[in-house]
Amino acid sequence: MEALFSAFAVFGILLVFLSAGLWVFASIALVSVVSLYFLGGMDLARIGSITGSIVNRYASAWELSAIPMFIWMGEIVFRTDISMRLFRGLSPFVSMIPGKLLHTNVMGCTMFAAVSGSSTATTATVGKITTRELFNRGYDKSLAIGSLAGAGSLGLMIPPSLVMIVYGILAEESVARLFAAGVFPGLMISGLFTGYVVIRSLLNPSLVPIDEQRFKLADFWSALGDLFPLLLLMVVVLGSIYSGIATPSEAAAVGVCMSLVIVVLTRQFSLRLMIESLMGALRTSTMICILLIAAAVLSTTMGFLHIPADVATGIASLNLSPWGLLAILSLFYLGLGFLLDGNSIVVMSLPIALPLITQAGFDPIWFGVYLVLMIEMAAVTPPIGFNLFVLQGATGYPIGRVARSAFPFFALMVVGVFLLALFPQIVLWFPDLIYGK
Amino acid sequence: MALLYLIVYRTSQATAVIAALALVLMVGFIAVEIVMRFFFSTSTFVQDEFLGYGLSICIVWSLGYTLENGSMIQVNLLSSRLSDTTQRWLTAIGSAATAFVILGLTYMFWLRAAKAWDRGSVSATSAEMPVWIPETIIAVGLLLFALQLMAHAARHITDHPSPAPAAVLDHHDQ
Repeated sequence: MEALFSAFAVFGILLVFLSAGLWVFASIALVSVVSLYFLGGMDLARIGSITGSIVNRYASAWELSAIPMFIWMGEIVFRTDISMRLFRGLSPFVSMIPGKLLHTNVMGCTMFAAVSGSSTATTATVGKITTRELFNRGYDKSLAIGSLAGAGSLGLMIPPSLVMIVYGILAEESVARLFAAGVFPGLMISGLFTGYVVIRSLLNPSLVPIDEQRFKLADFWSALGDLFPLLLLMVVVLGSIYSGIATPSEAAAVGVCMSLVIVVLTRQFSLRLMIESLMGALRTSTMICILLIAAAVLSTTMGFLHIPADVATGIASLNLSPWGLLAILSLFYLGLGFLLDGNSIVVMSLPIALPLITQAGFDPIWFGVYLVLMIEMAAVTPPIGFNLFVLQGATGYPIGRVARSAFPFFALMVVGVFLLALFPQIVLWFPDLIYGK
Repeated sequence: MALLYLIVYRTSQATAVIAALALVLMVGFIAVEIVMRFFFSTSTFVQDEFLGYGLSICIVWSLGYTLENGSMIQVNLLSSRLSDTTQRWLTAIGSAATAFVILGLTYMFWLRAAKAWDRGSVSATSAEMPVWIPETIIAVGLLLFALQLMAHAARHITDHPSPAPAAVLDHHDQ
């Protein structure tokens, strides 16, 4: 009962701080200090000592170095003409499929996700070219916006994924294994989106303009040339991990070096590109890392207050089946997704959710992928949906219209959650194949 | 006051540039490590340790810059419905409270660094790095962050615009 009171108190104070507009990291840090002082009865010196040790451990955790490096790689790619090349390169190939250039959104995002760990960067990079081109050519605007919003979130699932690094560190699971686990669920979601666009285009041909453009063999060769830099980056980054040449952290550095080589070879290298990409990478990675450190402090605080253990005991006493627990957690995550961004959801919920889920017999690697999919859904649900914000900025349409356009793709992700729950092997077979059980 | 805000922001910017250089060095260090391992079957043996030091500079020394450029995530669903004055005061109080916690943490790191100095502690690796160095790096970064937070609080009380260029304000990523 005492732990239940503590849990409500901690989340109550957290909500007050968040509602007051305080930064998420500061809200988490302050609620930890206040809870340890008032609920845990600790003096400030002890709280400082505990917090100091956690900050020291996380601020110098080399595993975290993958985060700024992957973000820097994404920033370099984002600030060059890779997205234009991606659109040009995919166009001849997708013109043969019903829905034609609408697939540049889904396939472009799927490919770009393999060199970017962020859904916002994926949506913004692919969207800055495809929205204008698709609108100008007369494609259905709703389907264009919706497919981009949905597919942009694949940046979180397809490796390298920043949220998976965050999850791996907090859950103490292998990041390389998590990356491998995200590949096929990512392709599955991408396949669902592609299928939906094909079916909608077949049922209603007016969604796609009548395009007389015929591509010759030379166009396909030229398209492959356009896709080459991105494909090379994908192969180098993922290949270095799965061939054992590099760890995920080292692969991030390999990716940065490769992207710099590409921008030099394509004559896009400049001091301005270096400075802007570096400072952009610092801003984003610092925001994520400080959130992680604050979450580690909160997690320790909850441990001192016995909240995870007592909540787990309380839920166990309800005798919920594993599926019942998963259903409740899914609703909980959907609710959080309306209010918080992906990284905040992971760091705030994991101290309680992970012990529950492992106790119920779910594989923590599977749960990581499930969690990422829930967060992908959060990215397309208003009022806090980062992909919606990006597309609102790119198209100038109100957030309500963007959200409505994205809804079918949100529904497809719900289907994806069911498929992952019913067939966990979609997640687990590939990491098991590479790394053994 | 405007000069004070500018000086604090420029300091945050300068330490962020050092953090950026640390990131470049981290990438270079890993490249050297991979080349040594792959082609010469040897290693620097201190990669993890130095990546850790680099990361702490990357994160802690760019906190003030990240904060003042509006890149820290906020949930402003309710606060955005409040009047400007109330919002400013809430931000000021929140910043001051966060600065208080960060100052406490700075003091703890100062104590840790002083203890490591007195004992002559070194890292348990072949580099034998004196422990007071990384502890001091974090303490200095936290102190500068606390300064930026206090300037942020004062700026909101006096309703002064941010010295950060508008082009990079409110950059969010996920």
